[in-house]
Amino acid sequence: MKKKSLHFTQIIYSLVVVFGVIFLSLIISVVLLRSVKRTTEDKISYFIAADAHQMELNVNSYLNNVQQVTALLFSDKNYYLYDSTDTSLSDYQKIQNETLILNRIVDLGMMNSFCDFGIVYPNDKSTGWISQVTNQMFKDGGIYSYFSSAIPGDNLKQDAWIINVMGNSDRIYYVKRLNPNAVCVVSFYISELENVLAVPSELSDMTVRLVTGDNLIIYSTNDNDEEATQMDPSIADIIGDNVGITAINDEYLITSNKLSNGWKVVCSIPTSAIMADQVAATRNLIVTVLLITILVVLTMLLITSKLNYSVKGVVDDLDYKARNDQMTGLLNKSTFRTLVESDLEAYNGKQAIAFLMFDLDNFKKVNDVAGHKFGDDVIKRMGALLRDVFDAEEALIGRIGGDEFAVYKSYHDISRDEADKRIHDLTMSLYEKFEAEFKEESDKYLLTVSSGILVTGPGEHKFDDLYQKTDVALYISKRNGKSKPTFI
Amino acid sequence: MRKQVKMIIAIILLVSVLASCTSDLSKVRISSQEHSTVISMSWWGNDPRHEYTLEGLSLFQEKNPDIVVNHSYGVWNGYERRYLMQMASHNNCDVMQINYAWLSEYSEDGTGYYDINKLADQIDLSSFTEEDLATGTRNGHLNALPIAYNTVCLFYNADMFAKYGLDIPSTWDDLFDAAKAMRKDNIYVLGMVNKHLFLLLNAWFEQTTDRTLFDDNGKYIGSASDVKMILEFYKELSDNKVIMPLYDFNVSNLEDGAVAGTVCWTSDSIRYCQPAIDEGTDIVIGDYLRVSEGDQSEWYIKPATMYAISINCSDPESCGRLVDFLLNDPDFAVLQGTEKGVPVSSSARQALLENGMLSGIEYQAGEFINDNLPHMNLINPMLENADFQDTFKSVSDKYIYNEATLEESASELHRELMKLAG
Repeated sequence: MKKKSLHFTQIIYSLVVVFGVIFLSLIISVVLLRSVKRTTEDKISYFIAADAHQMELNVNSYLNNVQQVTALLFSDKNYYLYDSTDTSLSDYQKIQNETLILNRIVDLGMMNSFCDFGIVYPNDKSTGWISQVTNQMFKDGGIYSYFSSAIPGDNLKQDAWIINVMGNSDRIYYVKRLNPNAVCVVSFYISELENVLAVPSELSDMTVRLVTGDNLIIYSTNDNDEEATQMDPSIADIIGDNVGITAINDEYLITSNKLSNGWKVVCSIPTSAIMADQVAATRNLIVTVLLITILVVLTMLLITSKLNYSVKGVVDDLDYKARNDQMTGLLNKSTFRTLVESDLEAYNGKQAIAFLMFDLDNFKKVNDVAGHKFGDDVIKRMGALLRDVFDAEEALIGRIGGDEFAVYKSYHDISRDEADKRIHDLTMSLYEKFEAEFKEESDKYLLTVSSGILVTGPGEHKFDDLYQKTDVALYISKRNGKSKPTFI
Repeated sequence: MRKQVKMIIAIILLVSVLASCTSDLSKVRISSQEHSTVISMSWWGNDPRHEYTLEGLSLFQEKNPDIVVNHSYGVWNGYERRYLMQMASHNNCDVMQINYAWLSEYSEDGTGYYDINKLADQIDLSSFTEEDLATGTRNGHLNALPIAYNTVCLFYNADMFAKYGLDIPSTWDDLFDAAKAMRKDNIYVLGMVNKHLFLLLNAWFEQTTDRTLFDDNGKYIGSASDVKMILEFYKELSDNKVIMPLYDFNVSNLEDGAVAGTVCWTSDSIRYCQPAIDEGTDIVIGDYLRVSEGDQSEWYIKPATMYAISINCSDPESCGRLVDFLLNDPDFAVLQGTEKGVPVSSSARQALLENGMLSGIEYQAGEFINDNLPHMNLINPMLENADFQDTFKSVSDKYIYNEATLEESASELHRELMKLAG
């Protein structure tokens, strides 16, 4: 028994260690994953920042090209000093000059997909390519004053980038003053920036926006963004006035890069999109650890259950042995008495009580002649016979002496008379079966059975009273020639 | 029992360690980069064409996710020079909107452009008649496919003519009569750009002399007196305010009433006429002008722009898919409408018919072409030659603005044209 409890302790210690190791592994893994997550975020931020910087360079290059092409009009005074409103020039001179300028514009602009590339004058006349769309926007005049006034007076370069001209959000305009009476107007479709601000297919969740310094959207790869409206405040708030930054929180990874004209390229990607692999790895780890834990718990339950089963068997066996007569399997005298007393004390609506005692007549002779082994066998068979008759009645059956047996039964559902009759019948049945079972022993050794039978109504009964009264009846049977019951 | 427990613990520890360390650093992981076939396309035109073509290219890329189309576009003015440079330097785009005249210029023997016959699996050529295909075929090579047919047309503001009690002009004299009535109000009968002016003058010249300035091979065969006649007539039109000065004319003048009519390609009719129509003005297509009633007019027709594929293109099959989309795809046909004229492709026409889009001034112009087709010839490419037209413009300007005499101008123009003819 001592050895067994030692094993128990060892198993429990082992399980505690296993759980400890699993828990520690989980903690270490989570810590490692968090560290890897941080590193991954840093790396991805670095690469997206590099991509955003490349976009900044691309857009700057695109915008610079427009500025450079326009600046080439300053290569000759005939281009930039011409004034269509100069009254000292003849019509032919004007035509010559304008043809010269047109040819220059054609040369400069031919490799660019410009919508507009022309020069407007205070009389609203123009030379070069001023598109029908732009002309239509100013069909009542005012094209020169509109573009001229868009150039801030204090701007040394005397140029400006304009969006949403007369409500047109399809194109971006660049204007540059050539002389006090001439402004060059260049425009291109915003959609041209699709290639310049293309989102890599590997970052399809990323939104790239070109916004003004005031966060007004000029172009966005997100169809939900509307041009000429304010950028999503949740993104604008994070970047604030910062430029050249990368910011990351639980919601977004954001970059903001400033362009040479004051506009910004803002890239944003949901953090969940870029960290999806990391999230999956964490989930896999937790699932793995959970599976291992379940495995361990199941193993533990299995071991415990096996141990329990085995210990319970031992205990049950010991208990059974303590409670029962080892030879017949019937209750021993002490247990019989305890159980009967317990039943008598319990108030459970008993209507009738039966107490029966059986004693084998001439059993000594069986032992003496046939030997103790045979005698033991007779005792066992008698126990089996009692069981055969009274088990169905759910009665308590005990061996209370060497060849003495007792049966106790309390009835709740029948009256005393009915119980009396039932016990009588059972007793008769027992006698019949006894005769059949022990016919040979009866012939050889005169083995018979005497009994005392008490059936009483409800009341304050004590075990000793019942025992004594029944014993008297048994005595009467013995005295009156054995082999018979005496009912009282 | 003790052994078993130890074994279980060992296994659990091993699994835990394996679960924590999933990466095998010694393995090389290779993944392919996602790249699409990149082709390029170029065109010229104005805002509406740019807008729907760009939208169409997005649609094409949606339908063909394996192809990316880069683009290059601009207005006509200067585009021809850009194209010349691109072709000469072999930097041209893979798919090109081309002018009919360029076929003879860049593919004299038919090998200057890719032979589209080889792409019959990609392009549904059954949408075109034999005659349609013949317009783009040189020396047995199908160099280009026509988008629509085009001719120069005269569009008039019928309300204005009615106001002056005039009929829509049908002879050259009718133009002068109309100018007489309108010039007091500073209204010109016709406004046009240089290119159309020259075609108008050429028509008058051919009707008057029954001769042409160029032979069938495009060689200049005119004389100094021929160009003198033309310059003189131009001056007459200008001095009598029949035509608005070229430099004053812009596309809005029909709408704002500065001119009573305009001369332009049928493919440009929406651009020139629609604003006026939208204002409620009755715009009608006039007959081709004749010297006198009953004469046979001499006008020309041409494919209104075509699609060709570069001989240098890296992926002809992808280019073929794009050309088929541009010509035959019902969705693109709807986007395009009749902006370039009524489409030649029967499947594109069917799409427009089903969507109730065969209407309006562009469609009327298309019908006008069909009605006059028997009297029209394919245009001589030289009549559209940019150098030739620039020369005409610079010399005629001097005469019109009295910087040179008629004789001086005629002689200079003849000399320059002879030079161009080589």
